This record gives sequence, structure tokens and C-alpha cells, in this order.
Amino acid sequence: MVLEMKLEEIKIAMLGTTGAGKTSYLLGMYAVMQTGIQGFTLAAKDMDLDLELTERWEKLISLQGEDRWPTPNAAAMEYYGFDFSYGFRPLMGFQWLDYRGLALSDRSTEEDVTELVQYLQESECLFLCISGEHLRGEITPNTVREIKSDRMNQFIQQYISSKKPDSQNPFPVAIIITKYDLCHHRDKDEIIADVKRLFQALFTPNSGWLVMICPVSLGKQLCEDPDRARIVPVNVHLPVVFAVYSQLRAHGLRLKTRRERQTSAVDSIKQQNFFLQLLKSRELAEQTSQLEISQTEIVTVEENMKLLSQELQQVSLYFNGSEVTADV
Amino acid sequence: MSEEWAAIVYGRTYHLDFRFVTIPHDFDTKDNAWALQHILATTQQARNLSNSPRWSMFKNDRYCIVGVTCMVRDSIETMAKDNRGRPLYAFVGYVTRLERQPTISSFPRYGGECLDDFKILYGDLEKVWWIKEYERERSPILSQYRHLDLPSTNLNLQLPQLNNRSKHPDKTYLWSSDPQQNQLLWEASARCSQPTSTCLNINGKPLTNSPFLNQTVAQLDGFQIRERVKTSVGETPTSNSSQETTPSSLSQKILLRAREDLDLTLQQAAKVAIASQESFGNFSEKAKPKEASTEEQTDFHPSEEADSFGFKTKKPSSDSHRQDWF
Repeated sequence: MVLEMKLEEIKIAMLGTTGAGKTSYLLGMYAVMQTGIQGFTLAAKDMDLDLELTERWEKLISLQGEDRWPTPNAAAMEYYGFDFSYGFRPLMGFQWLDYRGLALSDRSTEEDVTELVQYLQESECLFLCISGEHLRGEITPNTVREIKSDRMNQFIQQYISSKKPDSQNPFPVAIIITKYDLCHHRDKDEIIADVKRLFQALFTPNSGWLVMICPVSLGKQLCEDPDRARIVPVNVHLPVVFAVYSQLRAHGLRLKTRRERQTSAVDSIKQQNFFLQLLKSRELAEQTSQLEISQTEIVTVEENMKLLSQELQQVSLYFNGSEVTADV
Repeated sequence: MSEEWAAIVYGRTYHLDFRFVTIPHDFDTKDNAWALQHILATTQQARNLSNSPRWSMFKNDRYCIVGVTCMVRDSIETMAKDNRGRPLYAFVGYVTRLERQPTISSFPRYGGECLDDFKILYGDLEKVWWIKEYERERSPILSQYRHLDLPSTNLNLQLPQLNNRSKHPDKTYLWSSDPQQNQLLWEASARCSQPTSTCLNINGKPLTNSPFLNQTVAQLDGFQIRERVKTSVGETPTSNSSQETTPSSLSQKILLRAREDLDLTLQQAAKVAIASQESFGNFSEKAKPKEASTEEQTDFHPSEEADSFGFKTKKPSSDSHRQDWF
């Protein structure tokens, strides 16, 4: 049975200081996901946006010299609408907010902050971009200022923790180390320890945060020659895979709850006497049919999760402060 | 009497992000927001700004702003790149007050790729170019109004009809961009007695998601009128998810109603059956008391299995530190 499954559209907010590489990351992610990973693809809802992102990516990979990199964004926010599909069947839509980071500075206006706060409160997933250039060596108090992790923590504390994440409804946060080529020389565990120090609250036990630390790069050689080195994206698809995986998990849990209720309802009818069962035969048939649908949906969700979990083996995941692996 | 003009500059400097570098001394928060809305729109598709400066003129009841958005390197050789080597662009312009009359008589000419009237404004950018911390530059430079030596309106021109705020505020007029057309529209904007906004010489797509009521765009076949997407502050794209809850069709409503009636009948029948069951006692071995009430059944508690669904605790691996993220 082919089951059409469409999850609710979600909002993803991406925060990072200016120059963290957010736009380049977005272009790389879109280019990779257009081709697809394990049959999963990404497409802009708007054909013009699709064309624009593709053109900008082609410029990035074909040009050499300073003009290859995107010009900085003057607009405070940019919204992008995407469809995440499996076998070209839309599975989930998401709206992506690229916030250029002025709200993370002391020069942010009230309007900047208000709009960001509103979006954060509606978001179901958060991407925090920190540039590898600030992780070249062990972090110092200056690092906090450079990547504005203090402001990021403040926004999480004030506007996302109010969602009260817990084990049943964890809030997914992807900490994306952009330009990882610049700190690739460091030991992986050292970098993880530094990231944990910068965002300590996200790694506390039973706090309900589901955190991924994900290094991304547009090419290993870029650290040597950013204007001429070949562009070969690494890991750029993983944050989106993580966002979708966590939404599938939440959907799977809801389905399992529904299935348990339906099972109880069916059992309850079956336990009644013959006469009552006869009276409720149509209800029983309907409940049984609904139960079968739930079961099939759960299987579909788990199959999708299994496919995506293979991709997530290469990143570091933390749930309630403990390191975990994606496994269905 | 000719107008007085004050400088307005919006740009990025070597270390710090885009912001107002210079604003007129009498601009308040609302004026800033109004100006910023227009300036940001001129920076859309910034990659197309190379050798194609965008000229904009926008006025409300109080002010008229004229300026250009262009790659810095197209005007001056210094301050062209930021600390990440990215090519920079900026908006540089002038503001005049429209206290007594809504039209302006002398103003910077439309110059295509010649940006000489605005070059002097980069001096303000230079003053803050090397600042590293926003704290060091708490507020923008405040400019004063003064007379500039600018040419006057050419009254002999046959001007095109512009769109303005009182005409079609939800639409944008689009013309094909050519120097002559741009000059005429520039002149028409200056003489327009209503609040209006014009952006000229757009290389790329029209700025539909912008406050501009008039635009000239390269590669456009003739004059067009298009719907304009409003860009008021706080506006966010609407989600499609609400479509899922749109009112159902008549047949669906009938089906739903029939189902409700059927449920009601079944519930009534069940009540009768329970009553008869109480009267006649257990007449069948199959009749067993229910193990749980309906209330208990609906009060479902998720199993502990839910916690681990999708994630398993990672087993310690001796060689984990050697794994390469790449």
C-alpha cells in the first residue's frame, strides 16, 4: 500500500552573525538537496526562487576570485519556502528564515528584534550558525563576543524555552559549524567540548533539548585558497535531514498514541457481549480500519526515519544532555 | 527658492554589518523605518548591481529622498570589500523636506552609470570604515540640510504618467529601462505632487515585493502593470497549512452529519442494550464486565518506549576521537 503522508509545514529559524556563511551554506544545501539524498529531495515552492538559488550556486562553483562569494545581505530577514519530498512526493513543507544577525548585535532596532522574536516563537526548529574561523583554537571570552553566542543563548532562554520542551516534545536545535575547513585541523572532541561550553544550557540533563552539532563546509581546500579552491560541499544536507527526522519522530509519537487509543477502543468492543458487539459491528469495523491505517502510517514513518538515520550517523547528537544516535 | 538637502547613507563597513551610517538630524524612528523599507528594497538581488546602479526617488508628505544603490567599486576604489573579501554595495543619497510644496525644483540629475553627484557621500562611510564594535558607534552621523548646487527641473519635457499613492497603491508600473525613459521618469517623480516611489535601472527581476510604485527593468517588453506585494513591517508570508481546514463541500457536510446521526443512534442502542442487560442479567457467558471505563481509556499515558523512539543512547567507542567529521 502506498501511503501519502504529508506533515504540517514547519518553520526553521537560522541565526548567525554577519559573515558566518549562512547564505553560502543555504546555496550549498539547496544544490545538494535538489539532487537528493536517499531519495529525499528539496525544492523551492516558488520556481523563481529555485532559479535564483540555482543561478547563484552555479556562479559560486564556476567563478574564481572574490566575486564567487555572495554579496552580504542588507535585508534583515529573508524568507524561503521549501518542500521536502520523498520520491518527489511532498513529505513536509518548511519555511526558512535567514536572519542576518543584526538582532544579535547592540545596534538592533526594536523592529528587528520584534520580528525575529515573533518568528522564533512560531519556529519548530532552530539552526545556530557559528563560523569555524572562530574555532581555530581553543575558545576565549572573545569568542563569545565574536559569534554572539551570549545573545543566541538569551534568545533561546526567553523565547524558545517558553515552549517547555521535554522528553515527549523535545525542541530540535542544530548547531552548524560553517566553514569547518578552517578548524578541521583541531581534534573533533575538542571542538565539541568548546561548542558545549558556548551553549551549556542545551546540554543539561532532562532539559528537553535535542541538539545536533554538525560541521559543514563547501570544500576542504577552501581554507587554503577561498577564492580558487574547488567547491565540494560536505555535510550541508544534514541540518535539514535532522530537522525532518525530528519532525517525523514527533509525528511518529503522535501516531503511536493514536494507535494505542484505537487499540483500546477495539479491545473494549471485543470484550463486550455478543449482542453489544452486534450492535457495534459497524463501529468496530471502522475502528479496526482506522487502526490499520495508523499501523501503516507508523510503518511508513519508521521507514522514512530509518533512511534518514543513516545520514545522521556522522554527526554528534544529544538528547536531554546525553549523547545519542539516530536509530529506529 | 531651491531646496536644502541632507545626506543619508546606508551601508556595510569593513567589520560591521549594514546600518544607517548617516541620517538627517530631524529623522525620527518612523522616518528611519520608512526610508529603510525603500532602501532595503533597492538592495534585492544585490548580485545584479555590478555596473547597474539603481536610482531611487521616494517621497511621502514630509520628505523626498533621492539616491543610488550601487557597488562601492563602481564609484570609488577604496572601501569596496568587507573583512571577508565580499564585494560591498551601499545606498547613498540626499533628503529634502517637503514642507511647503510636494514637488521639488532642483535635484540631482539621473546619470545612469555616472554617480559623481553622490561620490562625496562616501566620506561618511570612510569616517566609520574601520570601527570594530557597534558600541563605539552608538548612533549614526546626523547630517544637516544645506543648499547644493543642483540643476533645475526641465519644464519642457513631455512626462509619462506615474503611479502614486492615491492612484494604485497595490500595483507597480513597470517600464523597460533605457536612459531616456529613466530620465523622464526621474523628472516625473520629482514633479509628482503625490507621495510616490520610483526605482530605475533594475538589472534583473522587478522588485515586486517592495514599496516601489514605479520601476524600470532591463529585459522587459513594453509597459506593464503588476500587483505589488505589500511590505509592511511585521508582515510574514502566510502559511499554506490553513488551507487544510477550509470548509468542506456540501457532500462532505452531509456525510459528516450522517455519521454523527449514526453514532448517536448507535449510542442510543447501546444504552438500551445496557439497560436490557441489567434487567435480564447475564444471559450469556460472553457478557463480561468492562475492565476500564471509557474515561480511563481516553486518558492515555505515553509509554516509556516513547522516550527512546528514534534515538538510542550512544555506546562509548574507543576510537571515537579519531573519527573524522569530514
